[in-house]
Amino acid sequence: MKKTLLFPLLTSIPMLMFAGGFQVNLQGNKQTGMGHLGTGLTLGASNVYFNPGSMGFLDKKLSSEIGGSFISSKVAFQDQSTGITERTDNPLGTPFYAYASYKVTEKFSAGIGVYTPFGSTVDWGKEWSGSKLIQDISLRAIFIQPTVSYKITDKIGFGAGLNIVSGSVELNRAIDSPVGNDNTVNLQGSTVALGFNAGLYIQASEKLSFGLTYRSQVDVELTEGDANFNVHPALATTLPNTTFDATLPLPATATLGIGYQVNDKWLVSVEGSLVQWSAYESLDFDFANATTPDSKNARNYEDAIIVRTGVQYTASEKLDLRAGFYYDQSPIQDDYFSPETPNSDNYGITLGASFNPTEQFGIDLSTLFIIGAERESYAPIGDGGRFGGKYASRSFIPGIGLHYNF
Amino acid sequence: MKKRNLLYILPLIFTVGCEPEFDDVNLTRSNGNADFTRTVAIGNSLTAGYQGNALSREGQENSIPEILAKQFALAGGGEFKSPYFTGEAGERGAGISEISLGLLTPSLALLSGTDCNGISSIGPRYNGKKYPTGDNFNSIASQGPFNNVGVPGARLIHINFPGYGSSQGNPYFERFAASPTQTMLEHAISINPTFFTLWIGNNDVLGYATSGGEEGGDSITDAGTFAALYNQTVSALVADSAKGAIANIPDITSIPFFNTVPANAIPISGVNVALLNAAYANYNAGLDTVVAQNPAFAPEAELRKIRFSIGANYMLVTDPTLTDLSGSGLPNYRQLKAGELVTLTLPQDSLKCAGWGTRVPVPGQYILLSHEIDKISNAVTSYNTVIENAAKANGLALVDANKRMKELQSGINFNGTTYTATFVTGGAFSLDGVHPNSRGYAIIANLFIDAINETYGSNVSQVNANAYPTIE
Repeated sequence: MKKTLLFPLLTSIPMLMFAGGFQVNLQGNKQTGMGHLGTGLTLGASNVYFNPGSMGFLDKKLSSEIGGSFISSKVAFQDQSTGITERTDNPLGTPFYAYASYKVTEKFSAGIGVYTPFGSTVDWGKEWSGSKLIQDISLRAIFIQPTVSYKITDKIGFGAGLNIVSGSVELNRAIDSPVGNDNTVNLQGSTVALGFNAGLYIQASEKLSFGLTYRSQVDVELTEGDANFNVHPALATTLPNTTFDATLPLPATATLGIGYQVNDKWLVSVEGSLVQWSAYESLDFDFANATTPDSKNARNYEDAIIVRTGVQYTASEKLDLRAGFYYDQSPIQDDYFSPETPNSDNYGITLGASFNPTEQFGIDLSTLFIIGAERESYAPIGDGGRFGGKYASRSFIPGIGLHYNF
Repeated sequence: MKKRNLLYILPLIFTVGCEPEFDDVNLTRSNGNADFTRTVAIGNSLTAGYQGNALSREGQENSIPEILAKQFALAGGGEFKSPYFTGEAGERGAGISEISLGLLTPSLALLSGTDCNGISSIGPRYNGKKYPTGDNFNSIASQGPFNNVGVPGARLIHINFPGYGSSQGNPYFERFAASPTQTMLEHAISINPTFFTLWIGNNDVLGYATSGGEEGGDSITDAGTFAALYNQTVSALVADSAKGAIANIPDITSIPFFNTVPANAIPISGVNVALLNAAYANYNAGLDTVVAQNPAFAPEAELRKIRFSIGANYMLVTDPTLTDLSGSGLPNYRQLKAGELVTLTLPQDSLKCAGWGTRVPVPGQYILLSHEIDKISNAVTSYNTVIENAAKANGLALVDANKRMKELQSGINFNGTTYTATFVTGGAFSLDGVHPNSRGYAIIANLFIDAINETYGSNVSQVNANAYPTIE
């Protein structure tokens, strides 16, 4: 099967970036083309992620999908005292997904998904003015989700999956000291954590469908991560290499979606999500070595909403066209805005298409253009200080996927 | 057809604003009643950007006038030229020191070294690299005039002193003076400045202080002379209705140069206490004999008696103001008192291994005695009165560097980072203990900005001092 051939290649590619906070909403190219909505729809094997409850409503016995996106994102910072503008030089992010959904019986389905719903790769450079907050950060989380789904009635399906999450963080940051201009610390750690993804799907009529999903919070608890200090000789005895503990919460998300098949050609959908970012109160690095001062970084994120709308136009048996728009509210308050997660209210504009040469096989394309609203925000730094200015961002994200259903 | 439309859209998104931009791309600030079109800065090493015992390219780039010029540029400020070093002198780690004029010397850095007892520690040392003597002091006058007329070593009188830019004068100024007879003031006025900064007078008392007062052979400028010269200078600068900011003189006895080596720096153990006290028993007895003859001498005898005890001891020094008892075979010895100062340049090995401060008095060039400190602080007070009056009389912004220096004693928090006047760990001073480091200069530049905004109703932004380099 194509899926098994491609899968090892894709997992070796580094990934990720972007949406509210460090959420990455690119879990299916069909959905991305429609403003990344799919909770109330049955678009393919990616239902494993979008709504496990709708897996039993797929047409074919076996559905599979695989794909990825290429995130080119740029963030700019303008210091409001000096007027100097600095920009990130982020590597290309490549989130990916692979899904399979199999109808074991008419009522019972099983499936598996591998996807990357959280992550961030931000590189401001070693020398930039906010280097004491962050130089570069790479945050990765790969979710593996075995899933079962049950059609309670012809119209109602419920499904749930276990999230096995492989999470890792690596960051570099400069250290403020009266001595030495190149004091830096590299922190890295990885762990495996658990969560779940559950969904309810209701095919109210031939035209109207509803979906409700809940993806649980996953706490990425890093224990004994490596903290490597590269400091001036005068600081070397107080800041030796050591280990650290830290916890990064990946927030829970509840989503309600509605789909409406207007006619043979037009499908419209709207969806709303509540992301419980308030779980992210602080990012604290607790160092094992006694003389290394622990690093406490208040985040105090607030819950945020995402509103999505999208349409699909079936031009022919072989061609689907899609477009969408979404508003993704930033969970970050102005007084706790760190350039490690330079996120503002995002407006996403999407286009997509599927080419289906045969009934079984097709190519799914999408493009997402994100405009991050200009915002003036500051992060706490040092003893009662603040670092910040104006931030703005743009992301351009083309994606490609394959589906194979039979 | 549809397929082709879709393909057109892809390159379109690529070209439309993939690069984030700001509404106010060129951050604009207002100049108020000031006009920053042509600015000029006059002063000494503090204006040139001298730090770590040398003038370096890094110091020049982070000098107060350069920091200010970049902020003025957002408020209508024009081009600003500093007489930058180039070539080897422009490299990081190199600098040109007053100690060896014309020679490239390595800047001070915190490096490991071994003392006379074989104990290693990290402290301020020259990095030991050899820099070739080159064309560092070749004239760059043809590239001038320069807006930063800061000349290390300049006293007030040198500002309008013909010949200061000649081979007989100051090589730092000779480099960029338009002619050997052009004065610093003439150089500044040749720019036809619309705005000036003036920070001068530190060296009129500093040289006396850093060389230990009377013993150093460097004198304090007389207060009357200072007033006359200062007012002349300001009058010349405002003659063409230029606006400006003038800075006063910080109390220099509070810089790390005088507050790092404590007056009671000598730890003595039990055995040595007995030996030392025995050695001074005759001296102390001699003082008692004088008191027996002249009871009025008792307070001075008390001051002069040498008493060592277990723990930290005040250093033994010679005080020329004491009554001359050499006829009785008694030298002018006493121990330092609390409040008297020791310079950073006192050789530590001489304290540790050569008996300085115990068996041998510490040479006066390393010591400020209380009467010398009084002279210094009286001079600074009178200079600052002159500067304050000149600011008032001419409607100029007064930069109260003296007050800021006092605040630094207890620590100032700039945007989350605390700075103090403590050597090395305080974060504001360079390793010479006299001059600020680049962050310290940025803090002072912010002080200029505040005074200018207050006086002229301008809106020039402060800089982020924490983002500037610190000591290495």
